[in-house]
Amino acid sequence: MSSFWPKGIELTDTQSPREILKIAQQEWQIGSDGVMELLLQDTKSQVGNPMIVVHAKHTPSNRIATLFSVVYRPNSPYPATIQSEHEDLPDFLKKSYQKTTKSFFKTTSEIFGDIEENVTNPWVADTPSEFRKKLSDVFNLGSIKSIIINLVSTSTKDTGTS
Amino acid sequence: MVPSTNADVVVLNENRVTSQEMLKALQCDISQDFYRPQHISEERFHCFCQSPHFDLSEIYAGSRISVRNLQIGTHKVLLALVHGLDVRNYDLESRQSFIESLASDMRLISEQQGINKLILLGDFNMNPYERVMNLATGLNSMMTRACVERKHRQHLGIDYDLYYNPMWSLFGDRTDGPAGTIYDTSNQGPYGWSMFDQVIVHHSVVELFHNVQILTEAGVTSLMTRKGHPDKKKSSDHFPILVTLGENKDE
Repeated sequence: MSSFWPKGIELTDTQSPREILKIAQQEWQIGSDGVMELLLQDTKSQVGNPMIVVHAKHTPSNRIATLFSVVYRPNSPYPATIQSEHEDLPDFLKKSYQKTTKSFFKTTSEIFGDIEENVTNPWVADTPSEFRKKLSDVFNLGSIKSIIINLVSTSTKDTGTS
Repeated sequence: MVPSTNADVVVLNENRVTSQEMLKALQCDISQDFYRPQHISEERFHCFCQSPHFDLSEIYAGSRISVRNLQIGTHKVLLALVHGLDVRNYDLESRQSFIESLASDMRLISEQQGINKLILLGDFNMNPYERVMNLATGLNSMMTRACVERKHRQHLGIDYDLYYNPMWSLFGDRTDGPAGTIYDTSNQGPYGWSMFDQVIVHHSVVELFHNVQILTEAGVTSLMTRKGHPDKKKSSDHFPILVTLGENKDE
């Protein structure tokens, strides 16, 4: 039997990224016994789309670190994309990055013109369930975990001596 | 540069030398008192300090912003270290958007910390005269101390705090020192000189700001080419700036 109803859509599940982030906010509050808090800051992306910047706050020390942001179009909560703030680091501070080097041989694109390439953005969510999954994934990135640990860490100042 | 200026605090942006090596050099060459204040992020900014009195512990870490507690006499101030989006990889709109987002971050942090005494320092990749540096929703920064005496201005019913940008006073060849902090005559630098490296002071702490200088020498070593531009082969394509802050003695 054929089915024309789009897969993965639940009409009862229409939560916006903001509503899902609010749930994450409550979860953090409970899960950390009030030690950690998620702050949601409304701003605009570089091209003027609505953006929610997500910060982590260590309540006892009042220290804050930016984790990532969520961007969507005005009046359309989906698709929504999660942007990691730390993608913006200079190359020499990244563990891995792409480097373009000049080849002695001409590439096919140089001979025949540009070739279209399909680029996948793994952080785009089209539905609430996809957004929940990606939000959970981003919280579990190594770079995000490091930020959280650094925020909580009460290590004393670095004197440089061993 | 540190011995000749007697600087208490050193801030480096995108320093290729590791913070450990840098700290060791400061301790060996200048003073054992140098240390690296508590930080959340290891990445973009390296900050070193000679006296724990200044605090300088990091209380906010963004990818291009680091905010520190700074104690100046009896004043608790927030020092924001900033690195704006660069001119080569980002168009003007993106760079303006970054500054607006920086201003929004500053409002959030100020509210979270309950402190409005803010000093911003760094490479903004924008000149003081660019629209977003002066826009109410941007950095709302003005040319003179007198301009910020009214403390804030209103835009669409919202009050925005005013900031003083002393870098205006250092432009051109009728002042001491070079005409800017960076020199570029490509299509990204139409005026030749730009003043991308700036200190910007919230109206409430203008009295704590004493001076800013563009440095062209590190001790006996010149940081300039023969034409007087920053010597990027020897040191950096930016001249460093030296900021003097302090509590007034009569307070």
